[in-house]
Amino acid sequence: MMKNSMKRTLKGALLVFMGLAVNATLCTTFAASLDDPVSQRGEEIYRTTCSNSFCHGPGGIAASAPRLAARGFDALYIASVTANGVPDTQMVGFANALSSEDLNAVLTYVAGLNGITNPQFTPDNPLAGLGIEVANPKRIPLAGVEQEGRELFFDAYGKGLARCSICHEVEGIGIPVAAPILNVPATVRALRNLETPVVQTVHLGDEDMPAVILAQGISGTLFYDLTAVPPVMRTIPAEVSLSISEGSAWEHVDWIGAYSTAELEKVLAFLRAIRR
Amino acid sequence: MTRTFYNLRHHSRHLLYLFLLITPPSVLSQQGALDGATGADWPSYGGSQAAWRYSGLDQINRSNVHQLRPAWVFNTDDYGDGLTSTPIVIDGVMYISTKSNWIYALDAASGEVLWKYEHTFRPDFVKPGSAGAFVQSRGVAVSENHVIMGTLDHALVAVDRQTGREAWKVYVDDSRQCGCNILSAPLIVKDMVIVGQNGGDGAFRGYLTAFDAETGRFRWRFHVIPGPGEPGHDSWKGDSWKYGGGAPWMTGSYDPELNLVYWGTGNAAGDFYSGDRTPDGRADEDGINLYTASVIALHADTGELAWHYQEVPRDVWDFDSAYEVILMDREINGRDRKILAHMNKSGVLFVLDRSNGEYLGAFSTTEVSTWITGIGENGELLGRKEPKLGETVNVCPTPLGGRGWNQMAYSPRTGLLYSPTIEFCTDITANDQEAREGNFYSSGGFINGLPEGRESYGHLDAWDPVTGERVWSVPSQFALMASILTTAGDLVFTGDPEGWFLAFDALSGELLWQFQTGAGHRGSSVAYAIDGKQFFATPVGWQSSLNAGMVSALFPGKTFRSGSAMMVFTLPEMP
Repeated sequence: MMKNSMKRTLKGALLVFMGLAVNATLCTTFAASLDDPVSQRGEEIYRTTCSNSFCHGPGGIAASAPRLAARGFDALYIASVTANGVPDTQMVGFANALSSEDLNAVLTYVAGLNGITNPQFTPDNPLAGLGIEVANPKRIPLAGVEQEGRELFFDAYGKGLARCSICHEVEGIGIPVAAPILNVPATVRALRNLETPVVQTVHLGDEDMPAVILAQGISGTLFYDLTAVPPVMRTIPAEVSLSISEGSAWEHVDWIGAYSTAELEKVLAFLRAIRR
Repeated sequence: MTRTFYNLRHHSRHLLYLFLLITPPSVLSQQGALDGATGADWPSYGGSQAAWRYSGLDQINRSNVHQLRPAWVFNTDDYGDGLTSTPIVIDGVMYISTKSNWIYALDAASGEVLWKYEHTFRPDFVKPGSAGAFVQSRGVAVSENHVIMGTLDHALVAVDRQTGREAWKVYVDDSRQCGCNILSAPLIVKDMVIVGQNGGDGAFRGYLTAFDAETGRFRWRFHVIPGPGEPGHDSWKGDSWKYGGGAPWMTGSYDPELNLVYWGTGNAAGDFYSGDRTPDGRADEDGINLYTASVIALHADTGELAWHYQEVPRDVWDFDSAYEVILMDREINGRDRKILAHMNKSGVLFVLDRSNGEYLGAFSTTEVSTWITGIGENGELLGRKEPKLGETVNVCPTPLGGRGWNQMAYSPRTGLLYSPTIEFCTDITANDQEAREGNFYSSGGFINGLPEGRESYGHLDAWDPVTGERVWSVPSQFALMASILTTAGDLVFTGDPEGWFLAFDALSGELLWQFQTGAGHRGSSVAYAIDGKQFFATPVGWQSSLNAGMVSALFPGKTFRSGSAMMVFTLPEMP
């Protein structure tokens, strides 16, 4: 009894979400065309990525974000918005977040929701030939120790605050406390004994602290305080007395102690792989 | 414009007076009892660290509240998604945060801008597929020297109280990896600032982190989900602990005498399906998916767990327990007890001994509740009506909550909790979604609806937390999603989606005063005084995305207007 009443009320609610009535028969027709394996894979990706209550809802019926089903979208529009998002909205681009296979699948699924039964995206590069430019390249596929090294680099669970990406931004993830990694150490020993001339010592009041200086000017000094993990970006106004001296007692080896030698070898393999 | 707050149910007054004959001595006369009242300042998100949202000011009271007039209005110029923050007022300066993580310092007497800070976001900080685009800011914390705010790109930033210049900033995590962000106001405890995060509906492992309030340096972190080798880890199946949610996404409390920090934790993820996270053979009463959907007490100096109480073991309804923890001292069965009152999204209010987590009682505050059939004598959930894989199950209340995240208030004068309740139901369809780090992880979907046969869908209630008695109740046609404020003038304030700012008699629930502010209310009002003159401030602007958007959709033809303004009221000057 309650359920039927709920559904009646829901219909009214959905009308507001959508701005217009959905033709249920049309949706059913489209759904029937989504039986191919690529669309089914796309539906799975959509379900885990796009359908939650904060976004487009199951089957593209709308939730807090607009309806996607039966909107009359063409394939180019679907690919463009999915790839790069919509500026100044909560719709972000997925071109770099999904593999080519998954992107192709979800584009095919959403195209199907709009009655396009044969959108003909290219499976290994679904944006090819559409004139859609994506700002940043996506992660290159890796395997074996290189992929294991990638997972260790960003390991939020095993390493937590001691993981590499707390201080290094790689592949668009991580906090760029350190400069980009241009030269990958040849060995784990070299990694542990890394020279870090960029780390200096800030003298503030009666305290000395290891620091990476970001800027000094008439308004003050901006630096990363490396006293504790995670590093703190601090701004000391010019009117506060502060001095800086070369070098510090800070050593890279102390901050990578959560990793074993074998793990660091994998991390190095990962870093070399993405430099290739 | 017509007001849709219904008239008082006068019969409830009799219950109140009976109550007053019995309880005030035990409420008011305990020597050394915890004092959670505010004075001239409103220094913390919940008023005080005890989270009462109670002002000890009584210059404006039941006899003169009808004379309230606007004193000043401040538009933030950050429109589009409402103003949801609680203003902090200290020494005549008001600090507010806006949805784009701007901070304003205002002269609290005039509304004049003293300074403005605009946070600069990292590029592309929203992780695709996460819920990280959820845009709100619920407030700041103010330490001795800094105004401190969590940000949408998951930083904690401190600016100088006098100048608004940035002093320190620390990235608590990378939002592009965790899919998380910080919307809640931090809590100042001693020389630390403690903050949680959003992300509990994502494949994410929630935590609380304490930083040095002066320097931003890390002090401690408590993971809501225990890692391998830690007690409680065996309440998770396989690797599900990595993605099990539990984000403590609201603001906690602190008892300086016990030196314990209290926080509510978020639901377990994936939200609506527990099969992937429930160890074989483990019973709900042993605690499943610890310490999600729980109240936790941590030693303030170390972040170590003192005790926990899991309100919703193996949650499958998205019934976060992340809401505020209200600390009070009350007499129960002839014995003075240090207790806490805590409501989770189910609308069930739990009362615990805050020194050890002992269960003392619980009662449901929603009038329509089908998710359980009752609560056992030890707090166990009876007759659980759970979502099922691939099927649609109707339950009440909804994942929006039997109450939103906006807070209750507690008056030591009446001994009552004042709470805005929502009467919605939902159709939940569960699935066995695969977890992906940082991505939204709901394991299903839900669609809200209105319960059958009702003409009002919200109500403002006064509850005795000790007896579980509802002393009075005032219906509202629409969901109430603004916090409650109560005062020593025996007043109760809140706002509604249509824009009415309302004052009620704390003793009877009688509507004493109202003012149409021009836009819906989704924030939290406060009281303060400058040079002996009392003011009330309320954020104005319906928060239009996500939950509030879903609520709006249930009332076709009604417009709950957005905006972003602070409105302040006071009594007129005497001639």
